[in-house]
Amino acid sequence: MKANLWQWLYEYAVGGTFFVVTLWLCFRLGGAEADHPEDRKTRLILILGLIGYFCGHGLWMFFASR
Amino acid sequence: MHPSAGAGTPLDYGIIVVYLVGILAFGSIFHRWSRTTKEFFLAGQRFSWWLIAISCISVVVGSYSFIKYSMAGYSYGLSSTMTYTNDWFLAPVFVLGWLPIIYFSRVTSIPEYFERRFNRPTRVAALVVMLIYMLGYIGVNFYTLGIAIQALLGKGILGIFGINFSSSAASHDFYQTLGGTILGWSLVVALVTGLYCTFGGQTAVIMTDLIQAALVFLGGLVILFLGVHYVGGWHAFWQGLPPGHRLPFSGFSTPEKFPFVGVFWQDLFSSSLATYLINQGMIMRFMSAKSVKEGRKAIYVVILLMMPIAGIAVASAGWVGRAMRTYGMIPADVEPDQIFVIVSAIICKPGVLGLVMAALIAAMMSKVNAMINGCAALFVNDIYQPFLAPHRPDKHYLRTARISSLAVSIIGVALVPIYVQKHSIYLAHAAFQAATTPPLIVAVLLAILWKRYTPAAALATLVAGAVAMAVSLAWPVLIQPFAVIHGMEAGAGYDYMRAMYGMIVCLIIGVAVTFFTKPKPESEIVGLTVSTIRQGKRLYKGSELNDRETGETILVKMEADESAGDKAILHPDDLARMKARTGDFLYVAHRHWWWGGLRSLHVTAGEPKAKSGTLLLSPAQIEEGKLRAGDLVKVEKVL
Repeated sequence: MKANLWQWLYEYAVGGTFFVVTLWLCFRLGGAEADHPEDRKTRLILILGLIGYFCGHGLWMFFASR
Repeated sequence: MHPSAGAGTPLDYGIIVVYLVGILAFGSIFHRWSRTTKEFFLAGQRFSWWLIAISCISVVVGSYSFIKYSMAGYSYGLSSTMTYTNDWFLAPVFVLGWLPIIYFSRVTSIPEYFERRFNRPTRVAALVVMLIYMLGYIGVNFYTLGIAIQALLGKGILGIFGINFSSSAASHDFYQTLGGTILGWSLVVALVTGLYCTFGGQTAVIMTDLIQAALVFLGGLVILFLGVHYVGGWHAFWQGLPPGHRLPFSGFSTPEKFPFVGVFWQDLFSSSLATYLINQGMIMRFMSAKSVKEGRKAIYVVILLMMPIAGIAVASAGWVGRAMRTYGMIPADVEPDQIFVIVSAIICKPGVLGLVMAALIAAMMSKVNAMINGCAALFVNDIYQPFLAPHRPDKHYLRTARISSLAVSIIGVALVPIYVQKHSIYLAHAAFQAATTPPLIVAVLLAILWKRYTPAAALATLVAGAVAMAVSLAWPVLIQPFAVIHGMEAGAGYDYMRAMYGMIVCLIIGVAVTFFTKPKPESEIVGLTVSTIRQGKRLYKGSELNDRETGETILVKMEADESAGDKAILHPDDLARMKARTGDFLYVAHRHWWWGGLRSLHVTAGEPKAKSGTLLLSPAQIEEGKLRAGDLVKVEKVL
């Protein structure tokens, strides 16, 4: 687990920053609207996908290190 | 067994020949689906998410992926999947920004977007870069496929039929000049791919991808399951991998040839962004979707499900090879770049090897077919129509599109002997790609996210950015700071950090020039930036939007009625169930989902005056959608 910890954190810190900034910009600039049902659903899927990948990589590291 | 000896049996060759003939016949069926240039290049914007998703996987897996990632899997373990599991970071900018912009603005190519967003010089700069890159890339794929199959089967396609040019001294020279068996394989695959692209256009590309992607997955996963069985089961396979090989990431800044941080920057911020933002083949696939919503569904499935599976499929031979090495089943001094060939030859029985080879060919064909269609689109839409022969009938452009597809295939094959003879040209193409990708990516990102970004700044980003990248190729020391701050040793992994250098330098150029130059008036960039997507959507529809309420998809009987004109006539209750109004965009499709939109059309809702449960369309509309009067069809509101 320790062998991959920095990589995991770096990936989700740098990649996650790009993800959050571009998501925020799309809503902030009006390309997507917070009160639009389809856009809200898209935002939810995007965030759940990110969490899914984050947890998936974390679990993989955990089980591979046992 | 030495790999160059080849392991193909007549059964393997038979499978490959059957596959090639079958895919040519299947692709050519779609000739009648391409009767206009819109149908030829964009398949009439009618496909369902699952067809687009399957087709997309072909963009990210090429023939060389099996060789490259098996090598990485053998040397570095499961971390070879790194490049297939980090694309989700790019999803917001694609699904909420780029996808709706290109879809609603109806652009047919990236250079066309550059002209509309900026000006003609920017379009020309982007066009030149993209054409050189794409034509070279087609040649690279033909070349690498030839190498891979030659290594595995041991002889060329002509050798299968007993023809051996190398039997006499004179023909030997000719044979070697043409690249030996490499060219033989390339020629056959180019012929098949070029023909079905020429006949069927984008529809053939997407439909054949269905088979090709299935074969790619099947081929890779067959190797994994047979390999695991060969080494003694899943437990033995897992134990056969060194502990460090079981982890999802490689070392942070080591090993030199596969450092995590280098792969992360190069893959995510160069290769993956290029795939989603500037790959003409990818853009055309999403333009073929029946709606932006379907395009979004497709990208979710691609990144969350299909990319990880593809990562497993292309690297499995390497993982199996590493476990085999642990148990002494293969020598410890095996060259990593031979591992795919060696493992396949050892674990695949006659027939299965043919399947694996068919998968390799499928990966290459599906990658190249999109490039061929993309190149033809660039030529017709960005050169021929605006500059060489404007204002001609659509049929004329369709004929030109078909000729262009064939010409592109021929040029691609013609590059193979050049790559064989002058490896420096092959390397030069790779360098060209490295130099031009970051400027294009940064230009697109700034173009969509920043409406102040000016035409002069875009041109400067493309030209000065490419120059800055080229300078870094000559003086890698420029990249040193980016490598050193990540703990890399002097000289090690510099190439990997070029993407980071390029992104930052191009960003600085773009932002700096913007502050000193004049932006394009806002009224001229409606629908071309994130901040104007809603207006672009209204322009696309031609009336006020009605997309906040999602209604039902209804099943109705379709009848032909000349008086319907170009509208869809329904009963008021049916419109109400869809939460649709007169003037809304509707999508009419065959009731069976497995058509995937092949039999469908978009149409505007007219004044509701039909019987309940009935849809009236003109015979011409029914013909356009490849539907039949009397069919039960599904109707849904799109916008």
